[in-house]
Amino acid sequence: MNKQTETFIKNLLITAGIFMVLPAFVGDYNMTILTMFFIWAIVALAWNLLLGFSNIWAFGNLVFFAVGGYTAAYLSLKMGIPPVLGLIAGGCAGAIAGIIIGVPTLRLKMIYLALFTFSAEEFLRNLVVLPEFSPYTGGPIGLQFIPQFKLFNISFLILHYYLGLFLFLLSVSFTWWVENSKIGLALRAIAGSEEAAEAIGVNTYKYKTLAFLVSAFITGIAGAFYSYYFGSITSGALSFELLVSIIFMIVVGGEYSFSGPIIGALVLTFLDEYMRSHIGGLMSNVRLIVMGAIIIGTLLKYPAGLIGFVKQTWSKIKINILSENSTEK
Amino acid sequence: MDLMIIINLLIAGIFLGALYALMSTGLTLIWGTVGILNFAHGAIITLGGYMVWVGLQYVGLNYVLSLVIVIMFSLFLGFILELFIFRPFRGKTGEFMNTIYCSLAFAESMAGIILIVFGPRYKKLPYISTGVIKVSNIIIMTTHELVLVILSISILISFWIFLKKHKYGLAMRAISQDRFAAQLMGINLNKVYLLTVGVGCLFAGVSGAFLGTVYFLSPHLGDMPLVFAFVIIVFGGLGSIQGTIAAAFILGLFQSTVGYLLGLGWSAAIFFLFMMLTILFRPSGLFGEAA
Repeated sequence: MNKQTETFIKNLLITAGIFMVLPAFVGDYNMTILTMFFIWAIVALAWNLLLGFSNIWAFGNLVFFAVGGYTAAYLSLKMGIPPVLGLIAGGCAGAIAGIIIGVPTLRLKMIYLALFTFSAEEFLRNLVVLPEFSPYTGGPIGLQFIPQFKLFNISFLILHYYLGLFLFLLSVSFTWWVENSKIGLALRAIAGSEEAAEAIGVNTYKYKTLAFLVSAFITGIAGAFYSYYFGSITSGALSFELLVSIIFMIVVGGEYSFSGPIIGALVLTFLDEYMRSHIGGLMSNVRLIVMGAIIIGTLLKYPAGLIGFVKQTWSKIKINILSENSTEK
Repeated sequence: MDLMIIINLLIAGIFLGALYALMSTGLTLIWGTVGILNFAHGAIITLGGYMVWVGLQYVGLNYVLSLVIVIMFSLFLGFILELFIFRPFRGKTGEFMNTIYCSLAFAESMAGIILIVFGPRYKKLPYISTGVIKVSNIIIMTTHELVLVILSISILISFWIFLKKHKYGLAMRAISQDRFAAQLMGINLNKVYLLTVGVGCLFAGVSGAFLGTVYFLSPHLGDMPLVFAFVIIVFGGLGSIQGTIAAAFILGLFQSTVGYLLGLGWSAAIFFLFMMLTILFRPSGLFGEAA
């Protein structure tokens, strides 16, 4: 075990410990927000595997999210499949959607991928509400009353909180493993320069497809968990606002670092939820303006996001301390 | 199929095609010349519609004079986009992605402003004229549609002449062919970029003013047009203006036919199918360069 893995496991255990004991201190309201944070953090993390880590311009991860969610919901609702199996089915469905979208487009220039994935999401949103598909998708109302997780007499909130935490830790570890394995090495080379990677014999198409597959699988599981947690899924899971807010999480946290999307998800989920609940009425839309301003400000001032900002300030402070020490002597 | 139905579908297709051509030309112009994918295009379409509403309701102008407000406001937005959002990232690493993120953020802020100022309720812009055109007692189109088609096509033709004859039109085409060589020929890149983004947004605003009379005015008016515009510019060939216009009319005809045969909900599916087929078999589109 090298040093990097050691620090990662240490950080993971600390994070896990903090989130394990948190329910004892925060109320029910904050716990629901935290469960939502787990879902968005998983989605943002898996998305950033493509966007920031591999420099693949994919904008359609909500397709996998919705496909996973709808599949799990349909299976549990109409066929009575237990939610645990539904999670896996959702992940597999997401991965299949990933292959369908990724295989034809990943060979082309990135600009086509960006346009295609972005449009795929918008079109799927229009397709799921069609009356022809309503036996499967529930039309505009979506699928409702999806059976949720049940275990002994544990309360709904606590059970879903810990399940979300478990899935979150699992996907963090899995993503970290992928990014630090041979696949991650190839992806890092592709992110640097695709031509150079190809020149030294990396099968770029294969690794890009693999990255797509992993990202789609994780996102599909998150989608399935989303539909079990809320008990319903509608075309809102494909909305433009959701796409924008998850991309904002990645950007605010910092797309070039592993923990960036997680921090971004934490900050933006709470900011969004508090602004939504504390500013009532029409003025609650101020949050959209604030979000937009935050993103533009972040990108102009600190392109590496919050993580980059913290690192920059920390190194400045360190330099200051060092120089003060040297002048004292 | 009846002959009358075919004629009707043809006219509906040309009407849609003219609107689509108008709304996607701006996008393809900005991509071809500046090299930026403007995700704020949809937001500017929406704002164009609302500016007509402002002109009609708050200022008390008629529709044509409101168009002047639309043109001025969307030019202004375009200049803001270029000066404060696109220019700071130019030539730096991650320019493409950062401009996309920022234009998404811009679109989100604009949606928030629209919701606060105008509220979420749907609005309907009035028709420019309310007559109908009849051929042997069968209505083939409204005069409103005719006015919109004539306006759109004349805007496109005058823009075409501008591209072919005017100094800045030539500069735009030169930059889209070879940025470096254009710079060597003494073209001031920043000036032309400013103008290009302004004109691109102007197209978006005007098409929003037209779309607002056809569909309902809502904060999401521009969402679907943005995606349709993406499909149209890919099908026509990225960065090619004649390809975009041809693709807009082809897809408009397809949409009217499919809407008649299957139902309007399927038009999005048809657009997606077009995009998928284009990407699979001819990524360069109708007129584009090789991908």
